[in-house]
Amino acid sequence: MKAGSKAEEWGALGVVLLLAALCVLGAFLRAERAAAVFSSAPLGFVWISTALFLFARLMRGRLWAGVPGAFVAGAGALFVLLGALYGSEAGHRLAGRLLGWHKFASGCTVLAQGELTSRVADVKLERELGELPFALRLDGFQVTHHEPRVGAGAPAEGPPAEAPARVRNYEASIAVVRNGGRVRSDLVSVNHPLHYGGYHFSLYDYGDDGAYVVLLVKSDSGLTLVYSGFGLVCAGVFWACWAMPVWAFVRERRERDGG
Amino acid sequence: MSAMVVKADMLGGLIYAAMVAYLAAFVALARKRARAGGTLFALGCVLCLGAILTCWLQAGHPPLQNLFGVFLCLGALAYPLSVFWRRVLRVAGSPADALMGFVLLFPVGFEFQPDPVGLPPALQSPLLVLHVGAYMLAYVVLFKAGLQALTGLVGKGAPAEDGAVGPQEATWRLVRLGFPLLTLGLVLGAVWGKAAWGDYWQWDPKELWSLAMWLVYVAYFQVRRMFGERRPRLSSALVLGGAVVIVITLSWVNLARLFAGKHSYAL
Repeated sequence: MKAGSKAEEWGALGVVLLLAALCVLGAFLRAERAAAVFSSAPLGFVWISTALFLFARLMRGRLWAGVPGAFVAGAGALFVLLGALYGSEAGHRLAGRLLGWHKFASGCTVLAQGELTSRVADVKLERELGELPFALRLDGFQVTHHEPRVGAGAPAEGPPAEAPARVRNYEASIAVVRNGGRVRSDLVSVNHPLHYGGYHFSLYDYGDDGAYVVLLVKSDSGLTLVYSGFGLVCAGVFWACWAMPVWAFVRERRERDGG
Repeated sequence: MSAMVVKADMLGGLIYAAMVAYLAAFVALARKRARAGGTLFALGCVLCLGAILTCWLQAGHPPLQNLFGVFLCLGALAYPLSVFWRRVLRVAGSPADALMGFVLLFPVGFEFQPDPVGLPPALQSPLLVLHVGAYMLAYVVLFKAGLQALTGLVGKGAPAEDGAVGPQEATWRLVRLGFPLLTLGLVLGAVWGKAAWGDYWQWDPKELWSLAMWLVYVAYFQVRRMFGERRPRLSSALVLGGAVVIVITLSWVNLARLFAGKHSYAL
């Protein structure tokens, strides 16, 4: 192995181990603080450097020459990184400045029953971020419960008790209004967010008696890249780890039978 | 965490019977009684499946909501996976597999409690079975890879059973079997997180441990790429490290308040 190639391979190992170590350290920070740390400028430098390094490795064809599946998985990882960078707050700010694409990366909107709103605040509802190019209205909200079962979840000793009813689902009926007219109406629930106008709206919180709901607003920018990356990573890994050994086994058996 | 409690019902009976069968299988296999050991190992698996079915019928959903269900299913997977890697991959260590099944069932029998009735809204998704199922398979296979790596590190490297490959080759085969499942579990979790929580990545402690685990195995592949079979101690140490991260992710991260997050319902 040439000295340059050797350094590149060691560099790749170093990057992977560095990222693993960062993940372990981040796990001790709790999600909110970890999100802030991993989105900070120094870590942004790490993400961009990793993406550039991965790109350089893919372009040099080293991964393809070794295991084609590794090349596909590497390309997938690059797609995920690029999509995540574009979908980040910084990515949205940059796209706004350079390309004039103005979107919120993420925020929250509070919808009161029957009232129209297009305002978006930060996720802590402390600072207003701006307005969506359309409005949303909460037409209804309900909480459904599982059927309570006698004895279920009761302590091992003592008489069977009726377990408290557990929440089955939260459902909000949301209307999208544009230029004064309703363009869409959807039932938004957990696992079923609303996708409209370049944003995903997910249930985040609700007020007493369903008087209002809070929707998490997430831009869909970069999501196609991320999901394509997921697909490529899976395809590459399954190709390299499962398909190639099975194919090698089949070929060997054919040659043996033929011989 | 609650005190150790004996389950005095049919479910408990099935679990304890499965534990006894696994322990007896371990003793028989360790004493080279392959036929008796295999039968007892299979019996333990059938009893586990009976416990899973009982939980499923009682709760009305697959028992994957908390650590009770997950460890019960992991215990049931020990036998079929052991048969698969012994026959197809020629990986040795059936006694250790039976013992692993017993160890996995121990907290199910004495520590964890069954799923409460009714899944919470976030878990009502077809991805529950796919995401958790992929991870469970990956965990068992990669933990076994960790045991093989440990055998390679402390032993002489000779296969323990006739026709079986050595520990280093066994580790390589098992990691190649488990890593795609680990990748699938991670990706499905991200896709599910987007639908349930609004984003595919939440910086949740369990997500970060899971990504760290995935990266440890990526590092193993990179070491194999760089050195082939020439640095067995380095590659074995990475796979052993991966197994340690599996144990941490599956137990400590779920049980410790230190790592409270979106996955806390797994308690």
